[in-house]
Amino acid sequence: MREGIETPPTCVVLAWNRGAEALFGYSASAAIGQPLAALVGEVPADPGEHVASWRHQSGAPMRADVVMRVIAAAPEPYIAVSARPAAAALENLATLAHELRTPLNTIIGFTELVRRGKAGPVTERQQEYLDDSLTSARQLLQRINGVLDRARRDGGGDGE
Amino acid sequence: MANETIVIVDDNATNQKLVRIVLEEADYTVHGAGDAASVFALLERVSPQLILMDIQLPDVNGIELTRQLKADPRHAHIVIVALSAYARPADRERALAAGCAAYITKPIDIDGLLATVAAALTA
Repeated sequence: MREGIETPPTCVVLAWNRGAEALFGYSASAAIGQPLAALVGEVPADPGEHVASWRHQSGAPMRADVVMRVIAAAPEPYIAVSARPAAAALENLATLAHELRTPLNTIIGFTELVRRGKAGPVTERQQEYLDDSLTSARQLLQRINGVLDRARRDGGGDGE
Repeated sequence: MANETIVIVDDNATNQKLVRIVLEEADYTVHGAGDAASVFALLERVSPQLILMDIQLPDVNGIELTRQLKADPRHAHIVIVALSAYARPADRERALAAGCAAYITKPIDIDGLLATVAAALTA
């Protein structure tokens, strides 16, 4: 899904859909009424396709493929902006996910082996703490998968 | 069942150790290799029923290595199961197209891995 960010020529945000929320981190209520440049970074001056060095709400830099269209037929002229993560950024994200999953494999795997008593008897309290470790490691894995799923949806590509 | 011989191909020594322990606990005989060259050297002296194949290897990638093994009459009968930290649907499709019988993603689920290996061996 591409996110629509409708702005008038002064680039104050008029509309901010769920795709934009997912991609940039700002909620619609936080974004609407703000200058687009204050949220994501420098806005290209001309209509057409651009690759912009924008940033997420967290401050993390992100490259985005941006398409700007001037909508003249509307009651008042405004600019429709759509953006998605640049293809290179998606590829970097897939590589990062691979690099995060590899050590998570051994963290989860060995913790599970110990918890199952494969390395010797485990007390009830040890088992509880190991379960806490496993729960956190699996939460981390789900977050990694969640970030990737969202980027893939927003980018419409095949990023992991 | 078990007692079958399995070769784990993984360039990450800790991951290889984990999978080795899991498989040995289930009574499989296990050998490890860290790259494609070691796989071919190992296959000169052991005859595995199954290879667990990582995709990202330092020399030839696991997909290409699977193709080479499947194209070699001496090794084509060996069941190959991909085991990778890449989880894209396209990665899975590529591995299956190259001749892998199944695709397991890391982090592994211990029981799931054993079930997939057992099913691939009896298929």
